[in-house]
Amino acid sequence: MTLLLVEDDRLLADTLVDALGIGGYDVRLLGNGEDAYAYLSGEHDIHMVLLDLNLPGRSGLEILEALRRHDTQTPVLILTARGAVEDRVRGLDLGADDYLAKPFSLEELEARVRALLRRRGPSALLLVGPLGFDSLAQRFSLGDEVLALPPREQRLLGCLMRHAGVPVDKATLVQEAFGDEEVGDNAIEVYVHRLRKRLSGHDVSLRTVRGLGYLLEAP
Amino acid sequence: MIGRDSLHRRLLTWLLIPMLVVGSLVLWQAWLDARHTADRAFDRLLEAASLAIAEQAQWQDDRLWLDLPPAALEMLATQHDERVFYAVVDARGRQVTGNAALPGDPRPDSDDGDTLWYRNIDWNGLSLRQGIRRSRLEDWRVRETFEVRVAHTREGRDNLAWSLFRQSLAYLLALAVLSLAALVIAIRLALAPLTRLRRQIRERDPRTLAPLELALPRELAELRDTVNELLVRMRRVKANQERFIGDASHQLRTPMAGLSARAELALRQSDPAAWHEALVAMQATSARTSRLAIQLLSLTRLDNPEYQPDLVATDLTAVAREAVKEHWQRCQRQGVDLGLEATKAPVWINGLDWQLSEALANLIDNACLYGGTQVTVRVTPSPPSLAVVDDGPGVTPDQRLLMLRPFHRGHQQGHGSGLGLAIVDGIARSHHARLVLDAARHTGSPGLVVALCFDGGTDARPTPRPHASPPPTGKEETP
Amino acid sequence: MNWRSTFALALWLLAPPVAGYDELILEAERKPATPLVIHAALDLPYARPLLEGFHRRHPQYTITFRNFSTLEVHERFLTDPTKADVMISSAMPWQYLLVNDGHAQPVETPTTEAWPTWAKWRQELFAFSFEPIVMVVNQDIRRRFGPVTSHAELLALLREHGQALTGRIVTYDPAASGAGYTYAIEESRLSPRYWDLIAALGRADTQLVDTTGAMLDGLADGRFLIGYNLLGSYAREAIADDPDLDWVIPDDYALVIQRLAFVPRQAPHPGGARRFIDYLLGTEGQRVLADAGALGAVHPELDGPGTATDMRRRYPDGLRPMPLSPGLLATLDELKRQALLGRWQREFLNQPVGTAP
Repeated sequence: MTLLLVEDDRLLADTLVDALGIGGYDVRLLGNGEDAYAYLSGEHDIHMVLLDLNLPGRSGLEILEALRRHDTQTPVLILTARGAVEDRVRGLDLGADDYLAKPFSLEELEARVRALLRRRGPSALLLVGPLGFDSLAQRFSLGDEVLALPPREQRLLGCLMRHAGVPVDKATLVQEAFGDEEVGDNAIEVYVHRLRKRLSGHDVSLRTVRGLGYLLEAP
Repeated sequence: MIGRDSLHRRLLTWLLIPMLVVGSLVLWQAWLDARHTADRAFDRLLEAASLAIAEQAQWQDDRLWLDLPPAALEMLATQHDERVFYAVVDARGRQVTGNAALPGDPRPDSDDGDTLWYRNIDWNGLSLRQGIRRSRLEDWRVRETFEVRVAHTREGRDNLAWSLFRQSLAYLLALAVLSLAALVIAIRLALAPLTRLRRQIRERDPRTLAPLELALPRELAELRDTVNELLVRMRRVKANQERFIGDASHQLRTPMAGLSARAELALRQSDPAAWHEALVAMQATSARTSRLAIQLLSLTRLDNPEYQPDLVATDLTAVAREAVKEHWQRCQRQGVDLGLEATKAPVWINGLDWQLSEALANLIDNACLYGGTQVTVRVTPSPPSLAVVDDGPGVTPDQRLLMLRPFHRGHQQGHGSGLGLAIVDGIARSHHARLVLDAARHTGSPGLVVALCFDGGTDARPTPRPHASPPPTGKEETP
Repeated sequence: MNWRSTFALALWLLAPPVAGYDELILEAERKPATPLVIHAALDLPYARPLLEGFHRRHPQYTITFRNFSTLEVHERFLTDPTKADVMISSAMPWQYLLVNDGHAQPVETPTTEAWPTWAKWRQELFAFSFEPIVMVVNQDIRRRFGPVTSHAELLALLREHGQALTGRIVTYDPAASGAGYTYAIEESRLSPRYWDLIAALGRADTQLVDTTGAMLDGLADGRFLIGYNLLGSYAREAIADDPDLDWVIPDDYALVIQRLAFVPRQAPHPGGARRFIDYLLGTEGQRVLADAGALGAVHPELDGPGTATDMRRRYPDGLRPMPLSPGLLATLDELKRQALLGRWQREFLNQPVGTAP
């Protein structure tokens, strides 16, 4: 995966390049707004953009606008020192996918990069630890083996995988699994229980979020 | 036009307008007076002419007869060459002689002597002043009444009226000019304290908040005192801010010193293990200081009255849900089970979702740091409230108020900055909500409930839930 | 005024020898041609030089001049005030009456504004001539009794030599002649000695006529030796060639008649009318009056024979022009007329007081 990092602070930029490099990504760095604007206004081969808002030359929002004019697919994560609501709202309105306020922890950043790539990434393959989903073949796999699932469980698992690491509320899961069907309150619990059984013993867990819903997590 | 921007002009206008009105009335009066005087003067001529004619009246050959004295008519024409008309009418109303059929006068006879009436008439398209004299022949046997009517055009008297009026006009104009000058000077003098005030304010050092010392008339004195009160409040705020900045910079300097020292020490060591240890420690301090910086920013923004946007309809349940989603992983990493306690139905209040999110972030943060193993975000529908409950050691009642002060920490160690509750307090205030601290249980570890109560009713207690203890006494509330 | 007065008016106004009217038309010599109609009580011989002078100066006007008797010019105007552009007459009280009643429009030009105040009224009525009332005396009288140059001398003459002059004096009958009545009322106002003169004239069996013509005829053929109160302009014309007759402006007092002109309010061509008045009052027109006519020019700048200035110099105290004032209205008063005529009759016929007129 190729990431583009647009950040002008040397310390932060170098650290992120190194950290993300270790994480297995190919990171390109641009240190000012003009270069980023020029680069993202045209064709590119980036899978994700990490965009600082306060840049010399063009502002991050201008660059975002320029990108989104011809590219609505590539996920963008905004890094903002300002933390002001307007920036966040403007950024999301203009087409950013997520934001992270400075200072942040590396862990947080990596988690969000992973989540974004998973959600919006170009791959046909969705991976959560040993659990995998091939969107072309429409096939689940656990470890090396194929995981055969009835349709409802498939939909449920797919949804949880897409939001891996983030709690999903029950209402969304019900909608995903059962559509508009009328179901009892405990219907989801049954399916969750079934999925848990299938996943037991593997390095991936289906956790309960008290009062909210469930999430899929891999260490 | 009526000086919205200038008190000077307002005063001038509002004084001038009545002055003009009064002046016009006076002018009008002067004109009427001039006309009246001119008429009175010229009516003497009518009186004299009619008398001269009347005196020549005689009874002859059984009829009224008269030798018209030319002087009578001459005296009715002044240098303005008025047109002259006369008629003599007998008791039966027949015109005995005359050069015009002048009308009579409807007014009654007077009690004694000759009856004299004057009035303005329009005759043959001419505007005339007429005088009539009803007299009586004094002959031996005859007591015939007759009427002498004389009239002339108005040139002479109009001329006199105008010249009289012109005089009045000249006086009035001079008076008006004087009054205007006096008015302008008076206003200037009267508004002098205002000018003094303005000058004093302008000459102030813009940074000083010292009170205004200036002797002023009563109305302005009230203004000055109000301004001074404002300045007192501003001084208090400034003092608070300075104290805050002092505390904040202290709070920032200490960890910075720590970082710097630790790095310096590490550089002296050559053991990578020692470096690793140093880096771990430094990372922790950095993280804490970062959080402090963020919170300081929040706090200043909340403190700024110009920054508050309008409150909109917000669903507390949605905010709570999002907060749980967002913070679950972090809490999980700290070994805390974050959960949600809310109904499916939305709970609407007027607020700002991002501020409430921030409040929850701070509360969840605090709960994770100081609390125990289970933290719950709780939403109650009526009265609407948003709360974070933890099962930690809790806080004693006397500590609770202190906790709201920035930089105070309930526990001397810990990783918090001490600003969290101050921020949440600020957010509660901007939502016109009350911040309520309470113990979660009566038995065992009391834990802490920090709740934002909206639409503050008389009953501030949160609605009892099945697994919470009944509301205890002695809870602390923020005003 | 009621119909009775109008009839009386008809009786005693000057009637010229011609019934109807004389007319003189001067065609315009320049386009655009504007008409100008003048109604007057002014004989053609006197009017012509004036009109020709105006015509030379303003050839764009077609001037129609009509000469009537004073009665007719007044009556015609009352019947139709829209006919004439200029009204001229020597009947001062009647012109004044018309203007007082508002029939005239003001004429405001530099010339009229500068006109002496005693010769105009309200910028509406203008006196443009200065014609003294004179006595005509046969040389014979002078030879026999000495010169008669004043009313006082006439009175003295009548008292001393009334016998010799019985029936040889002529004057207007005030009851029959408007002009005679006007002079009588004026003179009676000037001094009570007038009545002495009337009484003396009566005792001398003075002949009373009602026209100027009659007086002049009688004087020319010697029937009369003294003519009392003739219009100076006419007298001079008539006796210019007669060596026996002299005209005298009495030096104790002499009435002066002024011919009056006004522009009617409803004049059809007021522009031309105003120009004419301006000309009449201007130096040019006034000079014509002084030189050609015997009318006497009023213009204060003109001097020399035939001007008011000259006459005033020669008779500083005596000239009594009839003032343009409301006193003229009194002249027209019916009762006043009756009173005056009554007295005049009584004095003339030397009747004791109390006799019915």
